[in-house]
Amino acid sequence: MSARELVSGLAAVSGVVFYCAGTLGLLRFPDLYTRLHALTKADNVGVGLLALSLAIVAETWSEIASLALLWLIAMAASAASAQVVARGARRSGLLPWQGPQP
Amino acid sequence: MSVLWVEGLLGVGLVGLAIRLLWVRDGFETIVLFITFGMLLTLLWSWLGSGDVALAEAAIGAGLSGALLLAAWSQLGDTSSDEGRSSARLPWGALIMAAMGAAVGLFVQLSLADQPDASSTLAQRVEDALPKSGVENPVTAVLLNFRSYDTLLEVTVLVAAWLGVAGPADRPRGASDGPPEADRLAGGAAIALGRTWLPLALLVATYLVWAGSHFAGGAFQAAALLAGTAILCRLVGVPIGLEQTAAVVPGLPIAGLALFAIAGAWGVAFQGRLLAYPTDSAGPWIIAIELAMAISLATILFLLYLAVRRRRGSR
Repeated sequence: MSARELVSGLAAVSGVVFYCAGTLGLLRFPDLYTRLHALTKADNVGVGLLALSLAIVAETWSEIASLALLWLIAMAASAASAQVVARGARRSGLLPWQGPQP
Repeated sequence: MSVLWVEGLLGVGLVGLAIRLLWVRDGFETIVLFITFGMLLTLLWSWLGSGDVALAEAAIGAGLSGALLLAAWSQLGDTSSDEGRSSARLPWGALIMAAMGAAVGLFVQLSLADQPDASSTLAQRVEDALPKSGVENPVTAVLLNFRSYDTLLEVTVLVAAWLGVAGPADRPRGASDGPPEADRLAGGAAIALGRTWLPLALLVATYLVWAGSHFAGGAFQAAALLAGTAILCRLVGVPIGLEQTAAVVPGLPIAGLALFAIAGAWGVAFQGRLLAYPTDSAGPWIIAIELAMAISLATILFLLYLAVRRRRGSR
């Protein structure tokens, strides 16, 4: 295994760790806002690391450019949709979680 | 080995989702699961190397159908009273349908397994006739040339659906640049996304139509992408004027069908057969029809979405 493959593999594994953390947050966090936070923030890092991992072993520049574009579009889409969902929830009167009730 | 793993996981996930879908009673959950199903199916198609089908599934099956279903669901009103009462019952009708589907699938699989040699099949005949079709993508060659009457009728179905749901008389009331849902949902990020995505989507859609003649792509995928973008821009309040254009140019939704029909009539008149393109210019004909279809279908799909949304207000 070359150094390039090793770095690529490390990036992919770290990406999966972030995805798992995001999913765990989605399942375990107390309300919609915290879940959105976990999902979009962690997944954005996850998708970035996966794109990086594939870009390291990519053979052509156009592959790298496609991956970079993919990463940008995925980030923009998740940021915008998170805001739309949160805004919809806020407008319909859902209050953010205030910590564990005594 | 690893290939089988991915296919196996996707297959098990798809069947699991399908079974789960049979039991779900909540409309919203059903739609979300249906979209998820479409996304998994897209992954499987692209894994199997069917770029055309994967693109169509992602854009139409998961994306646009999802938006249409959600719009329809939101005008159904509160259905939660049905819940609980019927959720314990087994969906026998759906199960019987699923069993019949599985039986047919198994039958087709077994009868295909009897085929001695794959090279003597339809795929080979398409491959042989490809140079005469005017395009290089076998999928487009089948859809727009060898079996173009199938596609012609599909477009007719969509035009009929538009006539039934919206029709030329269904005009937007008042100014529509600031739709009511825009104030509720549009934030800075979403508006920025709508603005940046619009030119990119136009570029990608045009490319998809052009690419359809060489490899994966085509009018239906491009249309779904355009309609999806129009819906996105509408949701976040970025005016693109498609609605106004459609109101001013009433022929926009049927332009694709009309050009297709003209091509068909041309074939009858000059080649003696329905939809027989002139042999030396089949390629340009196909590109022109695909481009017109992409614009028309995008308009139809967008107007369908608007009609469903608007109906909620009038109830």
